[in-house]
Amino acid sequence: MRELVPDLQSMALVVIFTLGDSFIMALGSRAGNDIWLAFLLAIVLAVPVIALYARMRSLMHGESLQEGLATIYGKWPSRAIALAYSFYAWRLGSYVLIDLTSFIESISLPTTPRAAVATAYTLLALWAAKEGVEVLARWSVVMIRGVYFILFVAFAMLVTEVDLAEFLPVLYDGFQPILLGTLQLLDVPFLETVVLFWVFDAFVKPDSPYKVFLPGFAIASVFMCLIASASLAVLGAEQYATNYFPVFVATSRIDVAAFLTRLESVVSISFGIGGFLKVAVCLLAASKALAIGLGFTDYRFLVTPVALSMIPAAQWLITDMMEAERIATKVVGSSEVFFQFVLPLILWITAEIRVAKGKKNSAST
Amino acid sequence: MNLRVPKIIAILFLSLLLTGCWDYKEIEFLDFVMGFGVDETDDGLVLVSEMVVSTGTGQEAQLEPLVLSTMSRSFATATRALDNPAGMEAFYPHAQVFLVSEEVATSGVLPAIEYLVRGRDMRTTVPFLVTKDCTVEEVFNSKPPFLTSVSEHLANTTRLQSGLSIFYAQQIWEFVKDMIAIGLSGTLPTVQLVHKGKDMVPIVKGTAVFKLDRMVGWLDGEESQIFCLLKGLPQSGRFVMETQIEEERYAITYEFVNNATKISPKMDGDQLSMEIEVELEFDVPEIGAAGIDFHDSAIVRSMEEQLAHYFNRRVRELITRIQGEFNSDILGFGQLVRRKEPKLWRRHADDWDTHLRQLRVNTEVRTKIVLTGVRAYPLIPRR
Amino acid sequence: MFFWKKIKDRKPKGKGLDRLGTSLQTNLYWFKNDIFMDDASIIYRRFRSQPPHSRDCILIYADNMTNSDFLSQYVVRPFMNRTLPKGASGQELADYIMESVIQGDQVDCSQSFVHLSDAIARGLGVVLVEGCDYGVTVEAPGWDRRTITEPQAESVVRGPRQGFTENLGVNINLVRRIISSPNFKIKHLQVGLQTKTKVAIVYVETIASTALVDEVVKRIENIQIDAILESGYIQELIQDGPNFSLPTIGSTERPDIVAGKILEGRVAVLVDGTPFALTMPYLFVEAFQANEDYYNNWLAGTFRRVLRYISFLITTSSPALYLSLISYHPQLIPTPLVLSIAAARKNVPFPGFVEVVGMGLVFEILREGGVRLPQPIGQAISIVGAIVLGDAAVNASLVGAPMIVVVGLTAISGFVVSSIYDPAVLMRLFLVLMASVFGLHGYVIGVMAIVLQLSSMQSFGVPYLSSLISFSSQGMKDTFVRLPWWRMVLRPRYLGAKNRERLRSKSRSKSP
Repeated sequence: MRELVPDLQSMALVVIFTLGDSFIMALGSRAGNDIWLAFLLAIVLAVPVIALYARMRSLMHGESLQEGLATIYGKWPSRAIALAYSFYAWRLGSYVLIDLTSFIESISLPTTPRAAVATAYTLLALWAAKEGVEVLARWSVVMIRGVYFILFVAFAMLVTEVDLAEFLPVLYDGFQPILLGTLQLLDVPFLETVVLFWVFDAFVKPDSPYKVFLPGFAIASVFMCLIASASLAVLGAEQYATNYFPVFVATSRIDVAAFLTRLESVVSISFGIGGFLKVAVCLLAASKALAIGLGFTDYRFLVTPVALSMIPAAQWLITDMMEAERIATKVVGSSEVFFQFVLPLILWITAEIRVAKGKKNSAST
Repeated sequence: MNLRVPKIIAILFLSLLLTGCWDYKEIEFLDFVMGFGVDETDDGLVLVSEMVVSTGTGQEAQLEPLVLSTMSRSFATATRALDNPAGMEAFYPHAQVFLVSEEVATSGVLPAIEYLVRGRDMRTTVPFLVTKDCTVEEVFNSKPPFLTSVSEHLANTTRLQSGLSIFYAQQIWEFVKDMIAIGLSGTLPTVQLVHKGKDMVPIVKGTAVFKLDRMVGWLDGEESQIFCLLKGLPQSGRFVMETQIEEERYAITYEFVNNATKISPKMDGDQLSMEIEVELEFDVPEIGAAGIDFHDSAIVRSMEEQLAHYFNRRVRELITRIQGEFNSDILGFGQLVRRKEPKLWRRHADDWDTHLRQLRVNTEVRTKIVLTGVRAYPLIPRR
Repeated sequence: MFFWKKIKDRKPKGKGLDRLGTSLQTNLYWFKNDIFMDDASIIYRRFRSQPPHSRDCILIYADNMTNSDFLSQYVVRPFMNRTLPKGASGQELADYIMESVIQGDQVDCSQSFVHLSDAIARGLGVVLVEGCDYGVTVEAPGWDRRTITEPQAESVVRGPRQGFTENLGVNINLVRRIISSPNFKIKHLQVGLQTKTKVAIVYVETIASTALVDEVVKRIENIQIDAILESGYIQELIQDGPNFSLPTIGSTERPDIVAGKILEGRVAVLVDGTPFALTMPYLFVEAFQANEDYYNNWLAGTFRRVLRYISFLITTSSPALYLSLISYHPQLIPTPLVLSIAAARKNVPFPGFVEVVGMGLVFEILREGGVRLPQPIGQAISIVGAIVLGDAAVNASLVGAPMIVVVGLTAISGFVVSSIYDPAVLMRLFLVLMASVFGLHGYVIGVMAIVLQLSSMQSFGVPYLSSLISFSSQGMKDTFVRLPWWRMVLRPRYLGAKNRERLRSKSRSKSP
């Protein structure tokens, strides 16, 4: 069964997914006070890769994901690819769950077992994934207003604390920190967008994937750039890089007339919303890819086992906050590079060749 | 499809209800710490907290401060150790002020603030002060005239900094930011006790100058005013200056209307110097018997020149102390150099302390009288 | 409007024949001793037509349900004054009677016992004639009906003061008088095996989508239930997502609201015997729209609408937020307030969670107790509630004073969105439970779950949150704001209306 989602709603899904919960962590902290440059560079580098994802979906237009993969790559290779990405999405979902629960644990619920929080979020994600991408997209459209409202209000109140001189001197340590920051950003969270490739069954028009992925990514990444830069301008580069949750700490500086203070908890709500959607989308992608990999047409019966396996995985994969932070802010992860860039590139080239050949064949017959 | 939804909700509920409420706590069992601080003794540190205790219930409830102190080897254990004598869980996020004693400041505030920025319960948007000539415990036990709680009194006083102009208020995070910034040192306002009848009253006056995390000296109230001026803090204070009007000297009162300070590094060949430009605008609310006619521009110009001279002298005195006696970059010269002249900074980063001592500082003060109360002419008694 | 033709053919109950015979005696026997046995309210009026070929006739009707004056004037008298054609029988005779004898508007004939007995039960008169195997039915409604008054629950300051009554015909006419256009269409159905309730589906043909109308008809035709006492039965039987208490079908007592909704492309269902009409599809935003928004200045309307959204947030969230603030995040409350809350709660024996749930429950009991009582006793209940339970409970340290404020705020703002009051109570309880486990995070999880549920709901194929999830200005124009009429050029897209233009531009005139 194919679910068609209107482009604008899908775009909202892409925006919240890309924002996700990732901006809790010190994104691009290696770039020091040149973080905005790292962001711009990362956005510029990420756009072609995301366009590549969109191009692949566009090549499959008219068919569901499963049929499209099978026509282009053949039955067994497409299944192997799907299984690989199912694992990737499952692991990413578990990581997000860890980030989210560690954040909640270290900020406000220290004695609540992490498994309890993780269970609550996962069960909700399980329900969401069962409802399907259409409902999830609609959900995103409603929630995106809340997320943006919270962040906008919080950062509008921070304006008085922002010190633009924190961005000086530009390029004090040369280009290397910027490159490191850029790689950090590409890895997590920018190219995690590849998961969304597996979520949408079909698109309205052949150019819809572009209209969904590119503006969605652009909005989210520019917004993230603004948030990270504003936080850095409030905290200073050292504090930004040394806190686990710099955006959270930055918003704790809000003090309007000694009444509007302590807004950081309200901001942490938007982390919860983004984090939940990311878990749900990863769960959906993992289940859908698994269904394709195992040759089933309906993915829904796979959601529950996949979701339930994520709860213990979130406890076992990473057991402490330091590790969670290391993963979220690492510069280059080999598996990430493989899933986010190398494999899509190979798939894309193959797809172009196959489609071109297919056209020639159909033209000659 | 639709029956599935309540099933999942039921699972969600069950999972929640079967587990429990781990971090649930009742608000009435919390002991709200209004302010806290650290003293140092030979045996270790003493954490002093001022809490509020409510007596009576409902509408008759009265809040009364209660000061408790505990000795411990670390902050984290001390904050918990206070739970025991209080009989309730001490709750720190509502603290309004954080104090350290002179001894702690001299031996280094790093351990204290490292704990504060690391801890989950502590808020760093809290005024941070150093006690001078008294211990933290003495300050908390003093009697402010209006408010019962010393913490509230101190927190309110720090908000008056532009009007009082005798201290430069800092919140914990501001001090931390200055302390870890490159080419900048922190300062903290000081709190002292003065006699008021039988009671001791805490007042905030003066500035403690830090280098790294250690206190290296004091600025008194007047120097603090100049320091605030150089930091660009908007001033609204009043002061009296002996002013030469034609042949006689009068004590005339001036009030700050506007002030702006610009500090910039300047390269003259290979020679680095700092340019400090201060622009001040004044109101003249009181002239006493001086009988000044403010339409006489010669007199006004002479007053402005005297003001410029006066402030220039005081700025130079302060900078001399900073460069020589403290050798602490509290005005952030190094930070400015790093931002504006990164190449030069790269050369001097390692020996900035010695460089600071020899740094040439040029000062220029421009003054203007823009208001004279609501009258241009003086009152002149006649027969 | 011969709607009773729609009745599904069934075997006549009892052991009798299913068709009338030619013998009046036999026919009468079946009516009297089988179908309406032991029913004293059925009147059998015997009379004879004018000689020379005078025949025995009988008029059967239910007492008090028909206008007996009408029947004697326009049915019995013409028969007595007229000679029926000799030898005519069956269809021919029935046609003659309908065309030339009876002077009523709504006349029909039938051979079936079932049809005829149904007609009698519904308040029609039935004429049987010797030698004719057809019965002729005459509509002569005569029961008392309530006058048209303003509905109590939906009174307005500005707007028409008419409300529906229990009579279907009157109700249809109330709507028809607003939409006086041949495009206004009515489909009649009958539901309820015992009650045989008349149901009218009304819509505007040029606007409502055909698929929607067909879907409504199909769903209502599917209903096989013995009784329809109120439109709520139909609502529950045909609505989507019945397991969640939010309505996916709207109900109203006001003809202007029904007219407004069907002019946007919706379909309304009027049910005989109840003043409550149903409108569908019904979307979440409609709970926040009121007819007065459109009658008053658009800025005032917008302000009230925003107020309703805020009230909805307050009534669903404030106990949960209060609980999570006092029990999990006291650091978020401003310092003076936290001190006074702590002081107020000092001697309260119950934990915050019990206090919040308990006071919420007490309020709902008070409301339920007061709502169905006559006015004077209702007032007594509110006095007991306010003084005894509010003031005294605080003085006796059973609850803290801040809790009373929260309960009051919750209750008052709940009444602002009264059409979704009950779902709001359930959401509130759900959020309180979530907040009691995870504090603010639990609250957020709860809100996300509710939004997820709302996102997954549909009403007649239209997503429940349709206009809330639209990004276009024409989609949003009537959601959070009520734009002036000259800006609402198009009808809402999500209803799939055939003709989307509702206002010709340049309709707005200004003084030069």
